Order: sequence, then C-alpha cells, then structure tokens
Amino acid sequence: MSNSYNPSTILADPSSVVAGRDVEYETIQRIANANNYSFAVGACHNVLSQSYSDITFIQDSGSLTEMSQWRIPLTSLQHSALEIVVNYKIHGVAVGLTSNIRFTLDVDGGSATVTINLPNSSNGIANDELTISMPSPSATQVYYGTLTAEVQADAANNSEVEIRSIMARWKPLSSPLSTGFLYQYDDVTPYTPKGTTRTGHNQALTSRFGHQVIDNIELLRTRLKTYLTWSSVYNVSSSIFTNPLDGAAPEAYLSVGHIDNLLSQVLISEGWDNMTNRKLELHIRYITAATDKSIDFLNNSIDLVTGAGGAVRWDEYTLELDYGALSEIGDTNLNYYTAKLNNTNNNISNLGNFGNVPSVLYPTINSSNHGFIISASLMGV
Amino acid sequence: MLIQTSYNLLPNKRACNNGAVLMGSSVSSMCAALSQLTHVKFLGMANYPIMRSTFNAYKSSPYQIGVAYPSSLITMTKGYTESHKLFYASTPISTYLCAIVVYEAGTNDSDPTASEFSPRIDIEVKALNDSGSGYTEVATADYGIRMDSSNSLLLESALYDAGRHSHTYYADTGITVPRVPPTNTSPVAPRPLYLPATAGGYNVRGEVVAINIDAEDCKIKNITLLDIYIPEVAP
Repeated sequence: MSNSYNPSTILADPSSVVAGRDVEYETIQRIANANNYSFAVGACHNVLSQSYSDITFIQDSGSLTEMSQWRIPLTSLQHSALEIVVNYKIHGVAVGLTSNIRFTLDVDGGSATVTINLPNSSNGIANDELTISMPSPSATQVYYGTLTAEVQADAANNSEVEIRSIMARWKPLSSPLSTGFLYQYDDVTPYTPKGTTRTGHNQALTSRFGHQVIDNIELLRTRLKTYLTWSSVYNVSSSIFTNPLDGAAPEAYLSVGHIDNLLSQVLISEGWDNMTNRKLELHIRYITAATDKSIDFLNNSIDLVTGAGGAVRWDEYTLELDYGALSEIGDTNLNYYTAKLNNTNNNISNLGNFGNVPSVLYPTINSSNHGFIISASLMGV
Repeated sequence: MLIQTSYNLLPNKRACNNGAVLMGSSVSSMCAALSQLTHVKFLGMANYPIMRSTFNAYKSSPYQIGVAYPSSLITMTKGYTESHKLFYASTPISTYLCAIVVYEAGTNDSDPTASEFSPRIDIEVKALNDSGSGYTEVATADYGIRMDSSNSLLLESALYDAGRHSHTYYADTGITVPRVPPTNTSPVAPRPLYLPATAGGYNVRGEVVAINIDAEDCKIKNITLLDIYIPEVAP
C-alpha cells in the first residue's frame, strides 16, 4: 500500500547495491519503508518520565490544583496524540469519579486537556490520551510543548491522591501515512512520504526518489528526543500526613542534592558536530532574580536571564559539548555522555542547599526564592 | 548487516539527477543512514528521576523545606523496602533493555541492631493491555533480575558528611545480550531486561510496558532505561 510501513522490513542492506551485484527490488522498497517508519514511529518513546517516592506528590484538595509543569519536545506537527500513564495510590477510600489528574498541553498558543479518573486503588494504573490541534506549519519552528499537571482528591470522603510515577509519549502515526507533504517543525523542509507500491516496480530509482530520500533523512536527523524531565512538585497538601517526616515534603527547587543524582545519558552520534540545526537544549523554568545567577550543567555555564525579581518564566539554553572533559559510560557501544549538574562551587552556592534555603515554598514567591529553578528539561537530537 | 552508529555524509543530491549515472554507493549510503535512524537514533529510552523527601530534621518547623540534599536525611533502617512502578514505551524493534540505577545504600552504622545492610534491587517487566477501561498488567514479559551486593551493589561505609555532595552509587544491567532469550521464572543475576514480541498472547514490543522495581536496604534516586544497540542485525 502507498506510504505504508512495516517494522519487520525496515533494514535495507547497504551491500546489496555494490558493484557486481544485482540491485534487489526489495532494497529500494525497504528504503521507502524505513523512511515512513522513521517518520511515523521515530522518537515515540517516553517524552516525559518522572517518579515520586516518600509520598512527596500528594493532594487532599477537592479542587483541581496545579502541581507540576514540564517542557517536552514535539515529535512532529503530525503527531498530535499524547498518551499519558500514571501510577497512583489513593489514601482513604475514593468514591465515585471525584479523584482526578488533569493534564493540559500548550503548544504555540493552542492547548488541549485530558482528565484521567483515579478510582480507589493502592497501586493503580490510569491512562488516557489528549489530542491537540497542532499549529499550521510556517517558517518558524514549533518544536516543544508545555505540559501541566493538576490533581483533585475526593475531599468529601477525606481521601487523598498520591502520584507515584508519570510517563507520556507521542502516539506513533499509523500505517499508511497520509498523502502529500508532512511537517516536522516547520514548512521549510517538509517530509515526503514514500509510496511503497511504486518502489516494488522496475524503474523505482527515479531522480525524484533519490532527492526526497536524502531530504527526508536530513530532516529526521533533526528530530528531537527527551533526555531528562524534572519538575518540582508544589501546592502539596495532606491531612493524613501532617508530619513532613511521613510525607508531603517534595523537592520544590533544583538543589545541590541533584548533583550526581539527577542525570541522564545523552546519545551523541559521530557527525553531530557537523549538524547546523538545533542539537541540544536545556529548558529551565525558574523564578527570576534581579542579580546575575548561573548554573553549570554538562560542563556548560548557563547564565540565567536576569530581570525584575519574582517572575516565573521558561527559557531555552543551547548546550555545547566538551568531549574531552566529559566521560562516557562504558559498555554501551554507543557514545553516551552523562548529562548532569556539575559539582562546582558555583552550583553549590547558587542551587538550593543547607545554607541557602528559601523561607517559602513555590508558588509563594518572595525574595528568598528569587533565582531558584523549579523545572528543567533536556532535549536533543 | 552492520548498523552504523554515525551520521554519515549523505550523497550529493546531484548524483540522483536525471541523466546522472546513479552509483551503488549513493544508494548504499542512503541505506546505511536509514539504518542509523531506525536502529540508533530512534532507539527507545526513558529516564526517571525519582523524587525523594526533603524533610530535614536539622531545620526548624515546618521541616519540609523543598531543598534536596545529597543523601536522605530520613534514617534508613535495616529492612527498609520501597517499590516503584515505571512505564516504558518500547519501540517495535525493542528487544533488550539496559537499566542504569542511581541509588543510595544504607550505612552499616545507622542501625545499631543490625550487623550490616544488604542492599537488593529486583527489576521485572510486565506486559500491559488496555481493553477499554485502562491499562492492566496482563502477563510477565521478563521475570527479570536481582542486583545485590554479591554482583553489583555497593554498601555505604560511612555516614553522610553534611554539607558535601552525595555518596551516590551506580549499578547497571550491562549490555551483554544472552545467546538465547531468558526463560527464568524468578530474578537472576544482572543481565539486560528482555522484551519478547508477545507475552501471554499480548503484544509487548511497540507497546507501553510496566517496569516493576522492588528495593531493600537502599533508596533509588534515578533510573535510565535504554534500548540496547545491536551492532549486527539480519536484514
């Protein structure tokens, strides 16, 4: 079928087209298949992953209460369904349909929401998906969204909701892909689906085919993936765990405790340096400070935007790699680099630490938490 | 065929113009670049930071100060256990997963009644199915592995030194893919986690699976799950 893909036939053997061998028709068909597969399925693994221990993510309010926010990369402007799965526990007994978690996704001014009901369970799984209308492609790249979580408990029955893990992924496009141009982040370089019926015929290798395959490969190389998503948890409230030793004491700010603990593995394939597109970005949500502040991440010194103290904003920072100074984890056969906050004096003094504790918890803001980071996402190609 | 890991230089598009003699190497280069996309760049991955309590008994009320410290300030006693249920969106070609665990082990002197801590981490994979009313665990895809002090986990030997950064340890499953798919029915020594095509009649690859983790005498702080790169694959 035209523009279809089949995951079991996506490898086209490079040695099947060398001198002295017949060109196998299957090779060209597999090139088309791998093109379509890569666009439809590529980077549809976890786009958001975070877990919570020690009853840190808990809510007893009967109203939907905002508790976390993340930045996530888009897979393309065609991937519009975001699947979300949560693991949760109800403390007390929830009755009816009153315990919920609601997610709101904002992309370039548009938004979509999904409310997932959380029935009574001590170790429940709940899932659903939201579908967002992506913006029309233009010359400006739209490549990320902002996802917000709100939680509501069955307060009337004195039950509380504890969230234990959250994941999200963009749902892969089904086969066959629709006809005509498809768009990743803009309309400057569209993706051209490949008809797999035609590539099974003779004369499959047209000039048009070759040009479009090369363009498609170059485009797909720029597709972003998530490496790290961390959001603080705020507005927690519990009537059951009134002693913070027992619960309701979440991480509210990026802190020295995250050095060496909050990390991810960034895949940098050879040839990465020659790419001229967006390659590796750290998105930070923080409370602005009037004085200069910086943090050190993956051997990059990041100067946080300075402004009138007390505003909450997201900013994007491009990261560079200093290969010589970065260690690779061993035994993966691929070039993974450990991305984390550096253990520097700058971080120890600028991040939350024993001697630098704000007197209030976000969303309350005063001068004591100006310059503190409340979310961070690392995304790259 | 070998799967190249790098972003190779793509052929000049003029090599595909009408009238040009299309060389096999141009098509070969496209094949290699596509295999890099499907089998390297688009390998599945999930990275779970695991939030811990920020309770701090050394600070005055209200104690929950929102600042994370290198190691937990809530005492861990021998026999401490915790569980995690994480979700991994596998790809249609996911087969083996590497898990990299960041953890904090119990100290051997924080519990005077215990001779020594014995950290242990079990990881298993469950297939999920949504028949219309949400995901449920329907089958065991891999009974999984057990990390302990005999094979991969280290024991903290000294109490946390306040003011400094953490005593953090790392452990992983390795990437040595077994010759045959594992058939164990209880956790075994660390090896990559296996995702069969199906389990109990339900699809596993290309679906969301549950990663269930039980830990004892230690606290997990971060887990990275990676599809393992296989250098040579039958086309």
